[in-house]
Amino acid sequence: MAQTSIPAKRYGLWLLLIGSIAGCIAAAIAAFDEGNGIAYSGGAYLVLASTALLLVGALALALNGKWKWLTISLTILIFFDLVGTSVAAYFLETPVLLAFMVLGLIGWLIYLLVDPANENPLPFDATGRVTR
Amino acid sequence: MTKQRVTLAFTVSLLLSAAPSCSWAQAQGGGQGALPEASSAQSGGQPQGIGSESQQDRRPAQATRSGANNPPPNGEPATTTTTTPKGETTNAQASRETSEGEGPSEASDHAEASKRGPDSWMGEPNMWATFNGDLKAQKFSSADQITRDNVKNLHKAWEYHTGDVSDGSGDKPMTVWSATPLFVNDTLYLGTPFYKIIALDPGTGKEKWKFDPHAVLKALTQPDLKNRGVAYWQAERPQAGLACQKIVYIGTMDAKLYGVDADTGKPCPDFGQHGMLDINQWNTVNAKWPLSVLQPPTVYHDTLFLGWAGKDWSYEQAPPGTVFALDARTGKLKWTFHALTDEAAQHSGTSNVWASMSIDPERGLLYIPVSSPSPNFYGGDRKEKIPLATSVTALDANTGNVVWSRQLVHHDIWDLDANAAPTLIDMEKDGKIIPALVETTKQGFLFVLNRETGEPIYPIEERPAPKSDVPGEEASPTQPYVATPAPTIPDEWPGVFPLADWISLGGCSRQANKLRYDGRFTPPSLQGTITYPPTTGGTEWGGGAVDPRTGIFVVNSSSVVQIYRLIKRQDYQQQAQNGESSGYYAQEGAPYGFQLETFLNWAGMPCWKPPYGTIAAYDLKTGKRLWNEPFGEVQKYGFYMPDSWGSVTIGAPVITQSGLIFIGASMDSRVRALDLKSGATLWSSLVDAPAVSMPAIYNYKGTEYVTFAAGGNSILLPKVSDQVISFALPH
Repeated sequence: MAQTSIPAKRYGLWLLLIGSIAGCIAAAIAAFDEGNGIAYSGGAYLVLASTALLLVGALALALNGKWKWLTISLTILIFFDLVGTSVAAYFLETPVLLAFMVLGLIGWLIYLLVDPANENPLPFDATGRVTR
Repeated sequence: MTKQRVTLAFTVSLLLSAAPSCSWAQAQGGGQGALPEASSAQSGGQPQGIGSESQQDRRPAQATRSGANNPPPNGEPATTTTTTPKGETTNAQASRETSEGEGPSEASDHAEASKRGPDSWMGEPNMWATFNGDLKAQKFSSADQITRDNVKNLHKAWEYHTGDVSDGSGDKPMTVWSATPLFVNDTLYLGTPFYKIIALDPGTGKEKWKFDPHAVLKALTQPDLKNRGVAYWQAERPQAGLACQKIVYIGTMDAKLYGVDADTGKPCPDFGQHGMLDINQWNTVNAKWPLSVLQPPTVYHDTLFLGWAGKDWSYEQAPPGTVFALDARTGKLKWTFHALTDEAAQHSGTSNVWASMSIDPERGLLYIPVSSPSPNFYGGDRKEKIPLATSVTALDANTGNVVWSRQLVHHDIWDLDANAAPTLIDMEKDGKIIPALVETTKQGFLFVLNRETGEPIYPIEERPAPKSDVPGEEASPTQPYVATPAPTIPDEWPGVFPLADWISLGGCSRQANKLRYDGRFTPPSLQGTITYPPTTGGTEWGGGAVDPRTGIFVVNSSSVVQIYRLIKRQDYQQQAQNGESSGYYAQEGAPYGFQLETFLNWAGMPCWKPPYGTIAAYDLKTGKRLWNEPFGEVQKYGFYMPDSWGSVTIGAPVITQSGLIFIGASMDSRVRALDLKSGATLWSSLVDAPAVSMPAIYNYKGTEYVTFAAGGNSILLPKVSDQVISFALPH
């Protein structure tokens, strides 16, 4: 059944994945690019780890269609990762990383808001036909 | 990105336990080593004085220990002034000391005696020929190519790495590199913390030559390998084809002073022995450690004026403070100045001059900041008057005689060394031009004095000071206080920082309540004393900068709270604690050991309210503070704290004719250009480590360069570098 929530959910997941990948790259650059003021610092390593975890979580969320508990857990953990990494990026004065986390957060919000739950889809399909 | 949001700061503080002061400690290696530079360093001064304020003791002045520094027979003014109408020394007896059989260099003495005015080679515009830019320590550049309007376009012109850096993880101690590059002789000269001299092309950073003395790289007196650069001298009329008509000098921690040809880097055979002068040959009293030459000498009229640094806090008896005047060509001793009395030198020590000095070339006066005596935190064994300790003192540059002296702390038991070269300026006040000097201090006071007489231009009050409750100690009943210009830090300690207190579940408040605090100059105690400002300052060795056209004076400062605790000898066990903010120090020979602790919570966060560092501008004509802003950012684990917190600072500002202030100094490894009118940041750039030196600003082949040595300082952050970086406008 084609539902309006499905493409939106995919868009959200894509945004989250893009934010995670880009964030991970930005964090790696921040951690190892000498002369940026934070290279090789604990904070830089921290955001590198958090963005790597974010990427893993986002991939798992995208691939998991089986276990609801895992989806819920990942959704919550990804939110904390996004917020925590954003705050860290802010205080590391790494605006690029912060921007990618905001992008990921937008994706997460889209994913969350337009896909409340699979068992509660919208009552019409893409053509507008009532399905229940 | 600005960070004023307290909520975010709060969150991150929880996560990071960011604390400026915890990093001070980190670098401070353990045991006796690990001290804040001002303290660890160099060694300090001497208590004394006690008495009324503007005393003028007209005893004869002397350059030798037996003379000028004998305590007055009674009363003992806190300030000894032997003077001197119009800069003339009333007593010329003070002999030139000829130690160890080395006679004074007679060649030019007679000429020097009558000569006044700056050396001609030093008077060229757009140079940076001394540590402080010029002899007057104004830190002012007449360069005006970089302006408020175009400073935002400033970019890296070149970068050079000396290779002389150590983070302390290997077999060498950590490096602390605070060298101001010199621009003179169309060359940029650098000293490194491995005690090498490097000559660079000022426009490209390309290496011209390098001199390596193969110095001992051990922490003999300081916890870190330290260097504050080189000095330069040249003959009044250099003769072509002759070597060593221009000489660059560098000192080492093991008390060697090297002189090399400024054009080739080859040792000057006539200087000392084959280019090396052993300063330690004059270390004959309480020679517990070598006289470390970390601050380059001051050069004037073919003479090098040299102080030294030692190992503070370790011994009651230590080498007594001396200043040496040396022939620039040969290194022969011309005279020696002693700050301690003979009596005090027997059971005390130091009161040395470890910071830079300034010179009034027209008057032939040498101004020296004299540190406190040993032991630094207990004065019960040195109750006699030692008027030159913790003072700013004017010497006749030709003889070493004391012209005047003003004590800045009486009976110093806080290690509040006078620690910066006085800034000299002819200032207009009440319609008169006054030859003045400004002495910045660890106390945060700005002493503005008539540099001919030592008399205050703005009042110095003697205010009552708290009594000591330590058996055997007698704190001075009064201490000098300067209300105008306003002190760079508040009079009272800032109080407990609620965020730090909350994070420690009230730990900060509970600890504060257990400690003694009765305001400024609360003596060290057995229970522990909140000390504000402590030995870290206030203002450190960089001092301030002045625009001589307007009399605007700029100075950066730190706001730090430390806990001083004396420990009875029988209870004392020295505990070396590498990498922590607190430490135990023996004060061997005194009845008390000492513990110094920066007031942090369990998470390493400062228990006192920010800001931790500021920069301020004053109008010297009126004494009014024009602006005062938090400066820099605290950085810990890479995270930057809010701008409003500021940063502890080490280093100094430089003012340009175009109305800009260039300064590194902060923990965040940034160098900045500020607007002299407002203090607003107009430009900043990241460098590899905190630039704890002042920059050299010069004009070379039509381009204005701003060059920093970004070496780092363990007091700020355990982040070091060997980077020299020069900025200029795009062509």
